Amino acid sequence: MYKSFLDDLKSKSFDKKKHPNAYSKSFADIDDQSFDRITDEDRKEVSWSSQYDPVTRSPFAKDVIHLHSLLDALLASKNFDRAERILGAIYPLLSNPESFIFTLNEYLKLWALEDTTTLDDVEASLSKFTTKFPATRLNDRTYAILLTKYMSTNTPYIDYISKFTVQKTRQIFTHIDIIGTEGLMEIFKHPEISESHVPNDFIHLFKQVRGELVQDVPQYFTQDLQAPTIEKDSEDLKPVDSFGLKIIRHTLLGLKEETGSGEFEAILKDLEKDLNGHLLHNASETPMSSKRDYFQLYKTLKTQEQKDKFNEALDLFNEARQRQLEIRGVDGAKEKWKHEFEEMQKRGGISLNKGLNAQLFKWYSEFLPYVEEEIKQCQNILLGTIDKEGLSAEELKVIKEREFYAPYLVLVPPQKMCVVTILELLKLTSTGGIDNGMRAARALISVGKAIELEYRSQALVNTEKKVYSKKLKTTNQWKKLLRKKKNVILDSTTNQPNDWSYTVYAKIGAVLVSLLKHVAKVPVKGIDPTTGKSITGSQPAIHHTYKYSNGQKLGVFIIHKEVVKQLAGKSFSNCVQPQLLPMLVPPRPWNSYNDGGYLFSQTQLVRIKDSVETSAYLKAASEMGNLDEIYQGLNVLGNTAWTVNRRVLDVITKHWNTGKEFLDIPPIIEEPNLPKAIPLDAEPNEKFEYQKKVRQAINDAASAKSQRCDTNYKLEIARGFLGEKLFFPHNVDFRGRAYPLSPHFNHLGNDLTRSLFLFWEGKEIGENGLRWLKIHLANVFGIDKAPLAKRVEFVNENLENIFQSAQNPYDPQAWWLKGEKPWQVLSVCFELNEAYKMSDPTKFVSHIPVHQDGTCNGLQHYAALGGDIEGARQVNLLPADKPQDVYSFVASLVQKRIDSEAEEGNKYALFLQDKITRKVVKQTVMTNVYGVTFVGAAAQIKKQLDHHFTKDMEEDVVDYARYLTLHVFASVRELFEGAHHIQDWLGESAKRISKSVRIDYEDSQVANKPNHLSSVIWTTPLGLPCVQPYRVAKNQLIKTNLQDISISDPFGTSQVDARKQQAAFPPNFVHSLDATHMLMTSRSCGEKGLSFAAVHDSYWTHASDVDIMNAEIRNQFVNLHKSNLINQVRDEFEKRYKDCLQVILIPGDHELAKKIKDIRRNIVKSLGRALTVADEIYLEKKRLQLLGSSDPSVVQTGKEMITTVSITEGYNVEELTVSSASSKAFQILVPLKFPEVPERGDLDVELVKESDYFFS
Amino acid sequence: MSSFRSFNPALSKIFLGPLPKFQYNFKHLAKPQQCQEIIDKLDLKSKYPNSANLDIIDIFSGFGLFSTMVNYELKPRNHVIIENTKVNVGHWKERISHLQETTNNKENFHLYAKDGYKWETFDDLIQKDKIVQPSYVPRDKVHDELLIIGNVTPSKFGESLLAQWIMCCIYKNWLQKYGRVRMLCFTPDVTAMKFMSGSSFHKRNKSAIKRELYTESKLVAISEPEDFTEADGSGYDPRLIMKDQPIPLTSRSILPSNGQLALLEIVPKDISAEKYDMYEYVIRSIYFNASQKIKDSLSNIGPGAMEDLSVKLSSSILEKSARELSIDDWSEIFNVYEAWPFKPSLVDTMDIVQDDVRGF
Repeated sequence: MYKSFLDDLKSKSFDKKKHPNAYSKSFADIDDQSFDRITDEDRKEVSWSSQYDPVTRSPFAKDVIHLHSLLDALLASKNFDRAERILGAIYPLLSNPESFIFTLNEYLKLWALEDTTTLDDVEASLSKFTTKFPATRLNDRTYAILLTKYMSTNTPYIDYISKFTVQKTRQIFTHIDIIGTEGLMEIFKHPEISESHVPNDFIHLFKQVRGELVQDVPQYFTQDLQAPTIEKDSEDLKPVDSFGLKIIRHTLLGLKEETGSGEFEAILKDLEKDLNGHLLHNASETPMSSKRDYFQLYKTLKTQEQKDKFNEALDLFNEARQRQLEIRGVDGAKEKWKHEFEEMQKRGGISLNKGLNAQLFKWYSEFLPYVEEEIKQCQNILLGTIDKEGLSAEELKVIKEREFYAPYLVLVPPQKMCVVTILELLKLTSTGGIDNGMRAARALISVGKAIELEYRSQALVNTEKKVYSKKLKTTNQWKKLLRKKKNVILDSTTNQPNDWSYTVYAKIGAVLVSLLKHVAKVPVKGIDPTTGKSITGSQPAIHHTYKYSNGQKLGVFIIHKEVVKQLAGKSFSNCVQPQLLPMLVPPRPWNSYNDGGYLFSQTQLVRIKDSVETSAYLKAASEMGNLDEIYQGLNVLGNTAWTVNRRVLDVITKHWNTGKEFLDIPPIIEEPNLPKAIPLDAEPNEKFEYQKKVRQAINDAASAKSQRCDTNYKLEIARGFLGEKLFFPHNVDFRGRAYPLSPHFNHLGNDLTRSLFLFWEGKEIGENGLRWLKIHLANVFGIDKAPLAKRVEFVNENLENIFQSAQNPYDPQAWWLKGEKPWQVLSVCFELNEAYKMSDPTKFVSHIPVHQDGTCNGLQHYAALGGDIEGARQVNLLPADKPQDVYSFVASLVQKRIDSEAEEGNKYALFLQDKITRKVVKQTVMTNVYGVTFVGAAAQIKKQLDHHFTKDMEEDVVDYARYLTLHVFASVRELFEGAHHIQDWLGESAKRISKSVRIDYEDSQVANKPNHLSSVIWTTPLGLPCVQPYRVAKNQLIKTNLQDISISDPFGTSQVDARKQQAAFPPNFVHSLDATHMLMTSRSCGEKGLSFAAVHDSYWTHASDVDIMNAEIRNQFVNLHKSNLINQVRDEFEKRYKDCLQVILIPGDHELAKKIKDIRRNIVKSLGRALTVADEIYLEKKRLQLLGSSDPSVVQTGKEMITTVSITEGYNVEELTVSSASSKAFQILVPLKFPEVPERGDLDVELVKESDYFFS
Repeated sequence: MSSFRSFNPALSKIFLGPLPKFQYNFKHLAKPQQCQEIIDKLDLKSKYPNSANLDIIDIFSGFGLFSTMVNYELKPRNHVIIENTKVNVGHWKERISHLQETTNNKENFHLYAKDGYKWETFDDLIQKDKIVQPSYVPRDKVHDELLIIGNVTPSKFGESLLAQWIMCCIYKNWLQKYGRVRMLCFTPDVTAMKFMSGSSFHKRNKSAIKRELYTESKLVAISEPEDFTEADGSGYDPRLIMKDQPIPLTSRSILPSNGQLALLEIVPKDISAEKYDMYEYVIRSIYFNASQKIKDSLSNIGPGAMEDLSVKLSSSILEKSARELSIDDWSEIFNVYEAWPFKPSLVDTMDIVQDDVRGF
């Protein structure tokens, strides 16, 4: 037997054969025979990190996605012949040919439902396809397509339906995006269809069709409405230049200035009656005018019934506006530009200083014909009407290039592409460290992606039309009903990933940007140096050039200064990405890993760039239904309704308008403050220093500019959303930490941003709520280390200051300015001031989110994991009279150590003895959890010590810092002993995994270097698979007509980055726990009906609900840590990485090394060639296969077989391990084992429930 | 050995002994014969006729054979050895004390044990420690009382230090503030190949253009190619080899043996530095795409540059690539740029890129 393995090895070639790839080919180079020679063996799926996970990867994944994207594009432009060829190319590449039916259905759905296609055509094709692609099995979706064809050709369909079982019929009927609501309504009328044929979701519709449903819900809207424009009363804000504001509002509120939408007015009038005519009067100075602030309106409502009615009406109204916002935002921007352009033309001439919008419209109008021409060329290529005869090589090259992107470029109307390109470039200006510009690669990819996003939104809208019938009277109820279900519209499109590839993004981006670059000009003035006369001219607005960054040449686009001045100077941004604003309606709830969030754009549950592996694990977990609790947690966050704090915004705006620096508002800096020039012949050192200063000045100006831009962007959005009810869809990072999807304006921001948020719902504050509101004020003021009673006392003592702050917020001496987070202080001052105006302040209705923050949350989780009692006490896991301060405590431990060394006369200790403070150790203690390295910590501590030393003592400080760092590390270790053993265990396990060798994976690696292919993967207690995405990136070079760009290839399967995998695992693991804790708390607060929001370890709710939330925070922490999480991880690891081998080094003169050498020598003898690691792994794999046999005699053979791995059994190899520096180190393979899980300390986690300061 | 004219017999014992083992990435000449050939070719005596006023500043002289032979040839009033590697400092200390005993150090060697890479070293040498006080010589002639010898052969910093010394020729700072001071520089061979390339040669880089713009330089000596099947001088611009007729150095004459180096004689031109920043910017911008035609690479200079400048440049220049441009061509481009009303401001010409962690 053994001999036969060796014979195998002799003949075995580890080299993979090369296949033609599809991903780099254009549609014209692909036909249905392209991949016919691929065998089953070639198609076999391989595992990612472990063969024991149900997560595999097709070797042709990249090709298949590219082909799917081509198929999708060709179908969308109705190129059915071309599409059919792509179908033929896809089939042989599928590892699982049964899944081909999904692809085929995509094709059929569009082709079969064409009017020109007859029923006979469809039936003939189906029989052709099933012969040609033998694994194809028609499914209910195929039948739905056929059924629809029957109906549309007026062929009696009921006989067709009756062929199927009742259950099958029900499944067929679920494909509403194919049959359409109207189709279903027709079918439901048929007497042979009974309720048992109808899917549950559509019973409502069925009954309605049969007239069995009594409508008791009031109908506000009977048809799709044009969203009305409602101006908000913001004159008193005096925005710096309101066009930016207007454009956002414009985007937000729809396109045409339509006065009044009958339906919503009707509701308001209805409510008005209830309130005896006070509602509208209260809400606005001029009743029934166009100025309206929904939040003000809402606040005036008294009864819950009125509120519910209002909320329901507003939600429905907003539903339509949200739709406009997401899918027509782009048009809104263009309309605005056009409007301003026309206005300026009327007044004669366009000046850039006055109207960027008009300028943008000019670009747009000149850009459009070029894009139209390009699209025409693309269409000609798709139609095959290009005659290549007699063309020059250069022309052929252009055609070749165009062939690649043509199918995609024709999908989006040229008008939209023009606007999207302009918006993307403006948006990217001054990002990514390029002053007045952007990295070219990023710009091209972003434009490409934005075009794809636009295309997808359009496609969704088209499908939606079919699903939402206008004939149905209860459209809105219907919509609401469907929206709560798994998304029917998205569902049909997500079976097969068909994302465009980076190559497509880059090429589309390059075509559009180079055309825009060609037309976009700005008027400029200059002085002719020879004549001294001032002359005018025009210059390109977008300039492509290069910069050096760390010695690397970087392609960049520079936006002309004159344009940037418009963008970043006093006025601002026309470049809102409508898809990523806060939402006006609750986000679509998460239903699956890629279904949730915005209405018309698809988002993944986990935000991760280019990790195909993470997506694969996520998809598997989602399909197994493991992620429901994650969804529930996120849905609670998404359902929290917010509004913008008008009063704080007023104050911010006033300071903003001055252009001066104020608190965290950055000042306007137009030109950098350059140092005085030095003589040309200054010494090299002086020149160097001067250059440094110049760079610094330019850098400072650039970063102030981009900060101001960023803040302005936020404020503009805040203004746009004034008075609105808004929501944030959330998703998570790979560790499960939640983030809002809208990147620019959300509650995660700095103090200024956070102060702009109020809960939409108000809650009567009550006795306890008032206390918590005061504590919150003390916390944001900076009094957060005192006992709770002291914090309340602090606020009580300052009540007068608080009232004054609210009444005179602009007083330069105002008390609120002294707070640590002044803007949030101010927002509480406003509320407290209001509350105390009332005779009973506890009756005040509060909207402010009150925060409860964990003390050193990472350490809290570590202390719970390690069971360290003293450590737990110091991070407030245990009940105490006052909050404990872990930093002071560590400082005191360090002090003790230093004192004792000082006594022994240690010079470092003597010097440092009186310099140990809380501040010195704080950062290091904090970052310790997150795996700060010794070098990193020493640098932190050096910073704290620097001021004790003069400049020329640089080298000394380093020594002192290193010395002190040792003691800080030792002290943290002492305090969190158990936790540190856990941290070590996590680190060591990650090290072993990332250095492990898989036995199921063979490749051409013949050198004596084993492949390390397994990432560290674990599952959080809520079921989220966390996959560390650290692999050695493989780059791909994409050629475009502007420049070549190099980006990492997400499909490049590569070795793991072992160093990163190791270093990052302990902190990532702890983050996955804090994320879990947050989502658990979110879920339970949601169940209790609380408004809930969180910024990682800071949890927010209404003042009156803080007590309930606090109890939940503690309960969930206990729930989380009740079980031994580390044991669970170990068990998971042992399953996942079973049979992996580990590479270790032992002394070459050890007995075991000698034995292994003997075995190797014997194998070499019979092989007649050198032995590779791959050979050794192959033999071990065979041995394990024998051992796993059900035939006892085969098992016996396996037991008798000796390999270089099996020989290590019985040795404690861990004890033998030597470092690679050892001259005698000898590399061997041993089975992967994980270290013993360390003992946990005696901490009783239950006690957390009693701790006031755990979160406070 | 002592038969070479410039070899100091007082040092024969030292240079006849075993060769040192480590050179710390430096490469040195090890054979007196070749040093003599070089000194003869350089014709140093006629260039520095007045040895009584001559100062030599000798940076990283290391093994030092060449330095002592130049010294013996020219008999300067001061010969400062700037050297701070431990071993070489030891050697030089020994050598000088040996000379002290034998010749009373009439060679006038001073060991200045500081880092030749740092600019402060030279300030300290002249202003603080006042070891030498070089004379100022007007720039209409080459300085004949100060000579710089520099060994910048380490691949790690040699090339960039040489480039900076060339910059000092135009800025008139560092030691070049005393006049147009000749520099004899040992460089890595690859550096010499690039820096000494003429127009159209494929190794012509930005430094080659600056070298040609700001200095008169000669290739004095080159090492044999590592690959003995190649002809001497392969890898260099052939026109340069023809013009300068460098001395080929056998691999055995270099320490460590088979080390590759070249010797350049660099003399600053008498020109103004005023427009240097502009030159630098234009050269850098055009060199972003060194093989592109000028009509295309002009666009890198600034928005509108392609449209505005190309109409003013001769068509022959527009069809060339950056590498193909002669110095006259460059001057034409500089002039056209200078007269451009919309040329970017200083701030816009700086390469500033901040760190960026964001993805796409």
